[in-house]
Amino acid sequence: MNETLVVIVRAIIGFFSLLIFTRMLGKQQISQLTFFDYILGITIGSIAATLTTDLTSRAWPHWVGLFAWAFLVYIIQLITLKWRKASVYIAGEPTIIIMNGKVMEGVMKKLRYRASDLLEQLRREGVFDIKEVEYAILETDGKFSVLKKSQHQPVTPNDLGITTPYKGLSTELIYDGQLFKTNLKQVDKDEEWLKNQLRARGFGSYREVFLAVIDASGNLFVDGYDDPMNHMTDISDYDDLE
Amino acid sequence: MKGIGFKLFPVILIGLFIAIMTTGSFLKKPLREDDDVIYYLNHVQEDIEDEDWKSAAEYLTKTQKAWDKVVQRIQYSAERDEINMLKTTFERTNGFIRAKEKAGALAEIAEAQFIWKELGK
Repeated sequence: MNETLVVIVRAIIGFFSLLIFTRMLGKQQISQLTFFDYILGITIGSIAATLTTDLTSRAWPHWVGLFAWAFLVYIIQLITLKWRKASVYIAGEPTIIIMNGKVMEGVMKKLRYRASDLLEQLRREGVFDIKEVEYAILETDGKFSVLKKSQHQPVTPNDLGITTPYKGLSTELIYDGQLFKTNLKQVDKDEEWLKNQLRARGFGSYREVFLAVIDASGNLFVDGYDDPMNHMTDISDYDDLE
Repeated sequence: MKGIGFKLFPVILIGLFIAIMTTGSFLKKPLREDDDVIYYLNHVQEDIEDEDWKSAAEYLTKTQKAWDKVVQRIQYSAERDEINMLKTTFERTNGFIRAKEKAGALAEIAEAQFIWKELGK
C-alpha cells in the first residue's frame, strides 16, 4: 500500500467534495455566518480532514458523513427560507440593544452582553460617543447595526441639494491581455473604438494591457504591463532593520 | 450562459469519487490469471490439509504476489489496517508452513480468508 498516494487521492476527494458541497450551499455560509453556521463549518471541515488522513478507516463512511452534514445544512436552509417561524427559531432574531437612545439593560443581561462589548462594537462602527446613537441592533450573525441620531449623520449631496452624475457598475473590457468581446458589445462599443482608445494611450495591442475597465459614463481606465515611473515609493523598511 | 457541462461536471466528479471509494469489493476480484488471491489461498489451505508443505509454500508465494497486485487497486477503498493485517497473516502462515505446523497454518489461513471476505465492504 502506497500511503502517500492514498492520502493524495483522498485529499483530492475531500477537497473537491467540500468545494462542490459549499458551492451548493451558496454564499450564505460565508457572508452571514451565525454562530451555528460557524460550528457547522468547523464540523464539516473536520470530517473532510479525517477523510484525508485517517487511513485506519475507509474513506467512504467519512464521505457519507460529510455529505450528510452538508445535506442537513441544505435542508435547514430550505426550511428557514420557506418557513419564517422556523427561521426565527433556528437562526434567531435581531435584538435591539439601544432604542431611542436608551440602552436596554434587560435585553443585554438576557444575551449575556456586557457594557464593554457594546462600547467595543459601537467603536468598530465608528461611534465613539454613545450619545450619538438612536438605535443599535445586534444582528443574528453577532454584528452590530447602528443608526445615529439625525443630527450626527453625515451630510449627503441630497441634503445639500446637489445633483450628482449617475454612477453605475464598471465593465471589464480587457484582463491579462485578453479581450472580452461580450462585455464590449454590452457597453455598445466595438473593437475599432477600443483599439483607437488604446492607441491614443500608447498601447499597440491588447497583449500590452493588463486591465481595461469602462465605467457607466463611458470613461475608460487602462493599465498596461509597463508602468514607467520616475519615482518609486518603497514602504518596506526591511533593509534598514538590524 | 453557463452550459450543461458546467452543471454536469460536479455530478460526474462526485460519481467518480463514489466509484473510487466503494468499488473495493469489486476490484478485489481477479482481473487476470495471476491475481486470483482467494483461489491461491484456498489452494494453500488444501495443501496444508494434505500436508504437502512444498506446494503450500509455492502457492503461498503466488498468493502474496497476487495480493501485491490487488492491493494497488483496492488501496483507495479499503482500510489500511485490513491491508496490513492480511499481509501479516501471510507472513505468519509462511512461518507455520516452514515449521510444518498444520493447526497454526490452518488457523492463519482461516483468518486470512475472513479478512479477505470483509475487505472493501
